[in-house]
Amino acid sequence: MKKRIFFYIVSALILFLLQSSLLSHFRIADVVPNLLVIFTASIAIIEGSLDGCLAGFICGLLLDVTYGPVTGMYALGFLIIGYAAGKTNRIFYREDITYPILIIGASDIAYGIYMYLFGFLIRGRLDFLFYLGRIILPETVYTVILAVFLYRLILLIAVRLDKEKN
Amino acid sequence: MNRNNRKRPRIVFIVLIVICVALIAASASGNNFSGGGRAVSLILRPMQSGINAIGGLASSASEKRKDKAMLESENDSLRSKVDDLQSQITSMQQNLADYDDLLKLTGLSEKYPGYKMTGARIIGKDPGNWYSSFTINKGSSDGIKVNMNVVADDGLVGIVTKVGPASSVVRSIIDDTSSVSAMISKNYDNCIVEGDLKLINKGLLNVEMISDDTSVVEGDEVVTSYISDKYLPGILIGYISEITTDEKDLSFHAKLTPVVDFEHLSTVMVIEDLRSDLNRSGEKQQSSGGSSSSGEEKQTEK
Repeated sequence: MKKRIFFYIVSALILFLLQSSLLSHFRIADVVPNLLVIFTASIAIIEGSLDGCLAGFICGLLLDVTYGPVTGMYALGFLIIGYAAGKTNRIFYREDITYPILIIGASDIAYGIYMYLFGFLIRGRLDFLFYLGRIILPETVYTVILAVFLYRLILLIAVRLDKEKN
Repeated sequence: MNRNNRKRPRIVFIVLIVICVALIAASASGNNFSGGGRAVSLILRPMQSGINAIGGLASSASEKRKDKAMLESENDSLRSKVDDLQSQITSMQQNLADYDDLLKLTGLSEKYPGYKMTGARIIGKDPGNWYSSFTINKGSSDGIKVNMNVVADDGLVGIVTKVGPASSVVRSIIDDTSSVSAMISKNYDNCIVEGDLKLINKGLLNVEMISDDTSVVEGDEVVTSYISDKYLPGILIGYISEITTDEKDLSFHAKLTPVVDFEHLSTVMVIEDLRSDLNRSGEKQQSSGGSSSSGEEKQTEK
């Protein structure tokens, strides 16, 4: 368990760095993909709710202490995503790529809606459809495309960590 | 996971949710956990600046591969623009001469007389799509403090919101949560300049007028106001670009084009004078004619 938590922390740091310093130079349709959502959802799909929770909490907390307008906001959102995505862990085979991609896409949409509710609706920005079209959906498309590659990589590492444990 | 820890995820989930809610509650009541944030930012900072440099190189390389046709059409349009601007320059030179004369009269020799500034490089941007803040490579060890104003190209960029030992986070004025107390420089009409995610693509900001009977026209200069408690007075924000009147309640709605190009920002200047300090030593400054003197005084006191 300790080893895996260490793996989550290191991965979250690397993905966060990539996203904030590298991918912000490669915006497509003016959005940045969300690597941390890919990571949280992937871990949840592969390892289940418990690990999904932990990975999500780590990712969220990292965003909170660096950029978060309110500490805890990102952590709560990622935590919920990790838990919910982990609930589907028993239903499917994790080696089949279509289903994880669907779940990752759904997670990113859920994340977008969460951010809208707690960051924007709360301040009276009511035009949900605008934010859906301008940010949530483009971000999801971009994220899903990257997820195809990133999920396989995360699966590879996670399976190896599991083997070492046994 | 085996059957006997089936309940574990739920317990962990609930515990973590409680932690999150506690963090949100604590943070909403003013505690911003700068300790943990500082430690993380210290680890991230060198890597962030390195990766950011790679990203900058790669994106500038891809920009170079522009189409020849595109360059040609751009050349044509630029040529006609040069002619336009040439004629504008001559008329501006006239204005400038007048302006110089007026400056001599009022004794304002510089745009921002004597604010103590320090340059900083942008090393990272908010990794999401909802907010517009960025990280700079200077922190508390360089004398940066929360609420310091950040400028570039002679215009307001934003305000420092979080400070780590060697890096700090700046919220730019185009961020959806940003609002700046400002005024129209020609007639001192107060207004509020608000960032709006809906206008970011057009490069505009919202301006909310305080008074309805204002004589604002397009092109009016907007600067930070004297009544703001975070922003230093008189910093240029931008120019009014769109004015619409609501037919129903006859209220004014204006948009503003900032002078700063937020898309291609790579270095900024942080003003090391805080607005709260300015209030305290305001009278002293007026008599000595600039805040640089007070800044030097502070240094010698240390």
